[in-house]
Amino acid sequence: MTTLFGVEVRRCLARPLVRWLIALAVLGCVLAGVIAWREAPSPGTPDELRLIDLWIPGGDSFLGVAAFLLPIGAVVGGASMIGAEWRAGTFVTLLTWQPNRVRVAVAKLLACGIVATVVAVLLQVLFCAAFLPAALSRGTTAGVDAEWLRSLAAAVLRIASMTGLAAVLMGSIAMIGRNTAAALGAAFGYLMIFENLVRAWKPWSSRFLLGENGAIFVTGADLLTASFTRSTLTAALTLTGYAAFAALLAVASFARRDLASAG
Amino acid sequence: MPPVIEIMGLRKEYRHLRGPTRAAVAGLDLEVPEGGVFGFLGPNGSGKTTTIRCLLGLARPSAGTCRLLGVAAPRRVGSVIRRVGAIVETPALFPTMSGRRNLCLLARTGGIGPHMVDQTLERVGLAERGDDLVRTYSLGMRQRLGLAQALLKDPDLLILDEPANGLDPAGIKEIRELLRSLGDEGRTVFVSSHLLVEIEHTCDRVAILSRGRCVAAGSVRDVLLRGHRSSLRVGVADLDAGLQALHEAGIPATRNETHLHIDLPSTQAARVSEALARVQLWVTELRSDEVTLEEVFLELTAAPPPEEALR
Repeated sequence: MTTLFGVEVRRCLARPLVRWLIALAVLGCVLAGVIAWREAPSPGTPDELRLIDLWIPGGDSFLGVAAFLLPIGAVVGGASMIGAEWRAGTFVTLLTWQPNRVRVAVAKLLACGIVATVVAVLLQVLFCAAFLPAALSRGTTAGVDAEWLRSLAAAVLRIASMTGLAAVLMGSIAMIGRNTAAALGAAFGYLMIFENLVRAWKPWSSRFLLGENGAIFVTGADLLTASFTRSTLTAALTLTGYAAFAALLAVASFARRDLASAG
Repeated sequence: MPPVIEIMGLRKEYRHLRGPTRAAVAGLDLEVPEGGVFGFLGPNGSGKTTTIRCLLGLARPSAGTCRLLGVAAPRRVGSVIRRVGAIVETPALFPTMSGRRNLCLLARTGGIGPHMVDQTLERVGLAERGDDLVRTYSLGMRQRLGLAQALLKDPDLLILDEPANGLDPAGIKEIRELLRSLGDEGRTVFVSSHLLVEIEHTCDRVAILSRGRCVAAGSVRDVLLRGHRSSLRVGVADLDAGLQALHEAGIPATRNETHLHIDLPSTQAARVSEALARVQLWVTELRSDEVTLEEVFLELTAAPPPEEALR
């Protein structure tokens, strides 16, 4: 299983789309650092660049952008990694080497999730590092203490976990639908149409929706609304539940269905 | 010696939301003995690929059993898969990786050392293009790479679905020689193909599939003997007299403009010659009008479908 997982990680990283997404993200980080350095107000002014603006618990921060973009990348990358294999027909070749379908499916989904998580951590570290020159030379590091660093590290890990879960979820949908476009369409329909309808129709039930739980988990702040309260831990468990349920369905579907049409 | 492939009553049905259930394989019985090259023939849609998919656990049979190297498929295929190399339809490998990289990853999956990769690429004639991306390969090169991944395991049993697809005549000849050499090494090569002439020259045994059922199986010679048109071609100076003499001797014959055709195997040539000589007719030509595998194939697969196959 470890060998199979290792092979799947290599395959995942060899996908051009994954490489392009990572390259784009790296470029974005570098550009963000350059812009921060060029546009930083003079030191000592009231709106000077503060390193702690990278992450403000419960508030708007630069890392919030990563929290939004990274899971989107994972949605596309996760769906593509599995969907493209269906399109290319490579599952058949792999199953002539490893006929245990459960192992194959688990290794692929695990590779999706782990690669997305690790890449998300590295990109966030790069994103933070890109701000350092501007903050050190043209801004301030005031407020940076052990507690803030812990909070930043926790945020990075939460965002990375969210990215990994998004990749597993989308990989699972693509495995069930056997198609990248179908998986992306289903995700779009669910998030943009279904969840919005539920929010409008039964506001109390939005505590179970991916959008709300994702926001609570990423910000790390409990949500207190008129109709419900939701803790970060509950949100994390809900998101994991969604991903695990989708993965279970995907593995079961992959294990049972034929990889063939009549011929 | 137990057969390496044993199929009993295999049936695979595909259900459609609209229309009747279609049986791609309709009660197939087949045994493939160990060693040599076994040709698996059938027209398009006869169930060859579906049978191979059932054998490899890629599709679940609706009924019947399959055994691969003595173990039940698909449940226990995992225990013997290391000894089985396979190509199913057009081999699919990752187009954005090089051929060598694809093989290295598969080798790692199967616990095979990377040294085998170079050896296998060499064997299929891809050593020079091994580092190029698969997406730059022609169909024939992809077919060779597929064959390479099947050979990478150094398997006892090779299951090859149309391995010569997309190859040019030189490539087909190379594949034919490769299959023959693999068979001569003591491996079992189970190959499905449309290229009947190639099969006839390469295989030791064949099975012909029609509409999901085996209509003939055995050594190539035995199957050729199933051809009802096995006959003799005879030349004599007076064809009408010859025809009459043969009829009087109880030998079924017909004539065309230049020859007499006799529906008897070549083992009966002496009887024909004797019947003609008795009326002073001297044979100017006497040869076996050999039936080809293609003729047998067309004859056997043109039969009306068994009713059960189209339930």
